[in-house]
Amino acid sequence: MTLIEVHEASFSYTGSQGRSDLILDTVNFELHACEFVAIIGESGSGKSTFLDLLGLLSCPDSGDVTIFSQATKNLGEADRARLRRRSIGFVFQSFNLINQFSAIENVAVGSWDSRGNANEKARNLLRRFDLDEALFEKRPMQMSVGQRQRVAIARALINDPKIILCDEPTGNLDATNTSLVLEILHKLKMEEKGIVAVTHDNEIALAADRTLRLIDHKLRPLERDK
Amino acid sequence: MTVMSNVSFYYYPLVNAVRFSSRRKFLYGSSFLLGTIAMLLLTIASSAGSASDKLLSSAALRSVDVQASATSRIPLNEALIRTLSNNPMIDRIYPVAVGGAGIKVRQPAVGVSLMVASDLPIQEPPIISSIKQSLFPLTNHEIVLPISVNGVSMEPLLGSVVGFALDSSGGPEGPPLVELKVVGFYNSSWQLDGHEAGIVSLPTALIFASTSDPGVTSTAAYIAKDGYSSLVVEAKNEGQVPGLLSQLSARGLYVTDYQEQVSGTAAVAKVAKSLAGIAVIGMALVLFGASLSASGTLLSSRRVEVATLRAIGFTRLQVLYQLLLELIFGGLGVALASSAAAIAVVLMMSNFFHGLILRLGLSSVNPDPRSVSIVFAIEVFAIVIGGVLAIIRPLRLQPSIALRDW
Repeated sequence: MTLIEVHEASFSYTGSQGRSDLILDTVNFELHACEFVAIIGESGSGKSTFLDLLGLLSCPDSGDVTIFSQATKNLGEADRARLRRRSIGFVFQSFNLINQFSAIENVAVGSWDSRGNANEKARNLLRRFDLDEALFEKRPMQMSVGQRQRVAIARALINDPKIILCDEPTGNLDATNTSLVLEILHKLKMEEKGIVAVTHDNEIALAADRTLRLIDHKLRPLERDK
Repeated sequence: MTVMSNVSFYYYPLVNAVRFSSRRKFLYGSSFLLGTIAMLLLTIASSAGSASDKLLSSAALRSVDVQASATSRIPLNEALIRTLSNNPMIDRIYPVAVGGAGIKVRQPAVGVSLMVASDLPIQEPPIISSIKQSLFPLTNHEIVLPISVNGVSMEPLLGSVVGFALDSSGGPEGPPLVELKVVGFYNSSWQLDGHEAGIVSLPTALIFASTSDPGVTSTAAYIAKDGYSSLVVEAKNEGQVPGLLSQLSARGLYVTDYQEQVSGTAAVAKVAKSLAGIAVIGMALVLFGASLSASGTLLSSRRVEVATLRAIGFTRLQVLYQLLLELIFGGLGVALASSAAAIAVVLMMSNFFHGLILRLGLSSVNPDPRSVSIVFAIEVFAIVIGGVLAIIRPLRLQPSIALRDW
């Protein structure tokens, strides 16, 4: 089952002086259910920009991004947000948890369920990622980085999306926590989710089903996959 | 538009409004402090204003005082009152009796002397309102005292029945007593004359006045023979006062008017009111600026949070709703706290600093609903507007850019 299809997508940034910098050039990509794709590339190569296109946070200048066979090019902001909410979960390198919220609240805030259900779902997700119950009411600053990332992953899953987009998910983690996050991502893949992780981390690249390199504005399969 | 879930619609802004970050503490703290001060100033201004308005609108401006005088030799008796009542310029005539009295005070153990004057309905003295709101007209067994007489505070006498000596020498050693209940105090600094007069009903004042003439056996006989101490003659309007003065003088009566004195006093109150008003406007501007700045700093620092919310499925409009609700909750909380604090401080001031309040020329300072409402509205408005101005930019920023800059 194809979750995302990117067809001939190009993207440029226009600077303040009107100069246009090409970031992605007629890129094609597909993500299927039960698939874990890693995207690697030099800093500034456009990995995060590509992830933004997949997550409907940006629009390609040309080409299109199709989510569940639905073309997104002509969708308005509200429709894109609705699609994102229903189908896509984001995991960020810096976790981007809301500091004034507890772990439970950080997970539940993204829910579009009733409040009681949201809290219960959040609780179950946090339990699933082996977070101690005592941490549920703690705020991000009172948690370790590994714990924060698990909370962030739980938030990404609160609406049970089929697509998980991770931007350097292990960038701030030590080896133990990196392994833990990889294990979680692997389990999610088994649940028929499709995962795209932008990374510099070789461990993630090796663990992925496919690894793509962004080079010269194009996505190319990494040598080992050939 | 998508209906938002319960968890995010109210919960998120409420939690944000309640949980304090250091910047939010600054915003709330400064708004609270400025709001409380502004409410206090407005309350004082309002009290000064109402004192001023009361004086300016008082019947004193259209009244003429006819004094008993040794030179005129015309007794201010009922016959004269009947004659004057026929004058078309005269609206009403109030007889006034003045007598001397001493108060027998146990605590402090000194006697003080004062005049006892009948209450003047045209010129109700500023009564300390924490005691009693509507004292006039007084019944025959009541007295309103100046807050102090000869430097002796009268306050301990409130509510008690006090013996008054029936002579003008004063002191506690006088002969038989008339017993009167002390029902209130007035601010004697606002009294135009008779700064040390206890105010009683006319019949009571006549008892004191008639004792000064040992030859009379009743108050009626005293009035017939000596007449009242003075008459307050109220013209139908202010413009008739000069003409009335001329007519009464022509009859050989000794007359004065209140206009100059009352206008002077009212002018002082008006200046106080204006100064307080200016101070409040300044305070409101500072409050608005502080709220604007703090609210702005607070929200512009949350652009990653805004971008994250959008990344997890909130539309721009939904984030705006959330932040607006948060600002409104926060503003209402701060304004409520300021109002409560201002009311508490005003009540404390009324109780503990009424001497100072009297020196300011105010009969009392009470929480003023209008002042509280004005500052309440300014506080909420400033916090919300300050926040809204600050969130426009993070909201317009592409989430992808905001998240990347982090």
